[in-house]
Amino acid sequence: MNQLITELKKEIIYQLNLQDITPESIKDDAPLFGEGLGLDSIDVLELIVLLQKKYGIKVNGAEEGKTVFFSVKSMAEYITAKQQQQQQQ
Amino acid sequence: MSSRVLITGIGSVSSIGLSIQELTDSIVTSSSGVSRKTRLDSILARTLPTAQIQLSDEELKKRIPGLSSKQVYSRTALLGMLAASEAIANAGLAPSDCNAAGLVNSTSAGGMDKGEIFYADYLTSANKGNLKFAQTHDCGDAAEQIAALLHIEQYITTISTACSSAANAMIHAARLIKAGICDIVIAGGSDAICKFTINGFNSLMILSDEDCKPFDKNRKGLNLGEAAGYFVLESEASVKRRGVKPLAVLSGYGNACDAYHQTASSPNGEGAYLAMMQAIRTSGFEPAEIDYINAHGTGTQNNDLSESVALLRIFTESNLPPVSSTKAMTGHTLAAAGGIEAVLSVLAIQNGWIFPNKNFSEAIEETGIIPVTELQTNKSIKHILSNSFGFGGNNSSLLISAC
Amino acid sequence: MTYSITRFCRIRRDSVQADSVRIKTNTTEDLQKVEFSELYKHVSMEYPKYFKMDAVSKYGIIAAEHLLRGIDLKAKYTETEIGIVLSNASGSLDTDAEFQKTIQNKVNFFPSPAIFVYTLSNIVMGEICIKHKIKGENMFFLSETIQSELLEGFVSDLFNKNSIRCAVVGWVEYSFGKPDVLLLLVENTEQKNINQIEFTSNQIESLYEL
Repeated sequence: MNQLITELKKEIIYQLNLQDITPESIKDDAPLFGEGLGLDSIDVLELIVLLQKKYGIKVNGAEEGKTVFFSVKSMAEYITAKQQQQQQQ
Repeated sequence: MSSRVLITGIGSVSSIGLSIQELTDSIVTSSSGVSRKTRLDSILARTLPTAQIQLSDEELKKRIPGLSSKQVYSRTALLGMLAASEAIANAGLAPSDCNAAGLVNSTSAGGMDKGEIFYADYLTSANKGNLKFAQTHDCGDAAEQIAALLHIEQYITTISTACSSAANAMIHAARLIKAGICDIVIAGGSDAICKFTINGFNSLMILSDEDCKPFDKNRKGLNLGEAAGYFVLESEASVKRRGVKPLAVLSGYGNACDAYHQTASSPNGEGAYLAMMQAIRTSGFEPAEIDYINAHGTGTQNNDLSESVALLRIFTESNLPPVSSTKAMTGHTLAAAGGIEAVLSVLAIQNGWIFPNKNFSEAIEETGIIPVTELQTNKSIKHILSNSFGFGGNNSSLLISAC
Repeated sequence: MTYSITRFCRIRRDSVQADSVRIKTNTTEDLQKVEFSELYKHVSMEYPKYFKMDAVSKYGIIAAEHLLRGIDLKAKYTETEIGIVLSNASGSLDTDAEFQKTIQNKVNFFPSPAIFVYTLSNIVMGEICIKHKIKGENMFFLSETIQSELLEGFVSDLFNKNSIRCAVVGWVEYSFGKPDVLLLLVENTEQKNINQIEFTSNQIESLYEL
């Protein structure tokens, strides 16, 4: 999980062109939107593409996206859960 | 300078009718053009509902006399030609009137449908791909083709401001007439559906996987459509000279920048509010005189809430005139939306109609606006506000009035 | 009535150093590396959204920053009194091609929403409006080259009709890695002084030649 969290932080910074933000400065459970990193609705959509592209996971709609992308931790938990589901199938 | 801008001809092509007559018939039965039938070869168009015109380019061409068999025409140009020709016939313009007229065309996709065919071939090898296809790609090509067909030479231009394009074309045309640059202007918008747009809108997750529900609490997004809507606009002097009876008046218009986000509308609907207020102010009428509002109402979370907030800023809850979005019937036809909706506004005035906002069941909690859900007839409709809001915060509103 | 160009900003690729752009304003002249982060640092603005923009919008934002730096337009004008009239040759073609790349390959098919939102020819104007809260008359012309007479005529008319009292006017073109930008701040200055540039098509052309 920790390795996944670190990896996700790097990916988010790269995909969303975040400037002057280091992986270390993103807290695992801090909100990504609004007050946190100040991400907007287009950023949610890019994160949805990221999950599809890199982890083969499909998020259904921006509404579900809001809970999945609440924080880096919630993203990692979602990915792990989905991957376990896929392995079981 | 203060002379009125009169509407003397209308023409339209959409998924609910290839002519004004067919459109009128579809309204009477409240038919919708939204379906899963697709002519566009796209995986998305097969899985998501769209409002496509179910005629191939070849079939469209057969309906337009005078086209060259050697020339490549984009679908956008073909749709535009059909609707613009109908508007000209409706207005009874003579060839000499067309020569002296202006054309303000609008589109957002332009010839992308043909550009996509060219590009696919070109990528396999730099020697491949029919350049004639690529030449239709830019937005100005459709205007040139329509002008050539109709022998319009005086003034030709193209406007592309996403979903407010056709409304802006009409505003520009009205200004040309008021400034005395043209006496007659053919104006409108046309957009064919293509892969680029459907993929783009899908990536924004604003395409609904079911029939769109404008202004509904549980709305899931929009349905893309294709259409063309055109007008003949004229000065009072020209109408008098030709001795024709105008259908309606373009009595007011407004365009404003939301200055908020590339695609999202502001929470307080500032751009929409400014555009509607400008339209009302330029007309000289009062908000209380508006009989019906043909809303932009796309069915997306963002637009419908923002537009509702703007509406309530102008008309308080108790004074809000009947509102509906016709996009559940026509789909969201992007650049053509303002054109077809203004055509519908003229029909509403002529027939005393208020159009149904189909698929609505529950109001948006924050604003509580309940649109008209069934076709209303025998209404006295004198003034209609028709909204068209585009990406980039380019918002326009037209006020169309009875003569 | 005549109006004045109270400020300007010209950005173009340097003819000698291909990896640099020359940025000229009414008071400064600089040679800077083309990297977007370098251009950003140089205007010392705090606007992370810049890094998410497409190339033409980035250049528009940088030029607008140079143009409007240190002045408080809002103290003089309301949001709707400030107009914006821009133009270019390629629209958003550079970005259209970028988006096409994301839907080109059937195996690697991931349409990018962040790129799609920039596939609008007038998007650079929208970004400048958002940044500087400009809500007045706006127009974006597409033409093969800068049309100075059209810009002069259109903008002067807006002033004459009292639609606006101030305008950001110019040309913001970007294609094949080459920026070509001229932004002007046009105002109705009652007291003429010797340093002011009259807002005429000739002056627009000579500033474009800089």
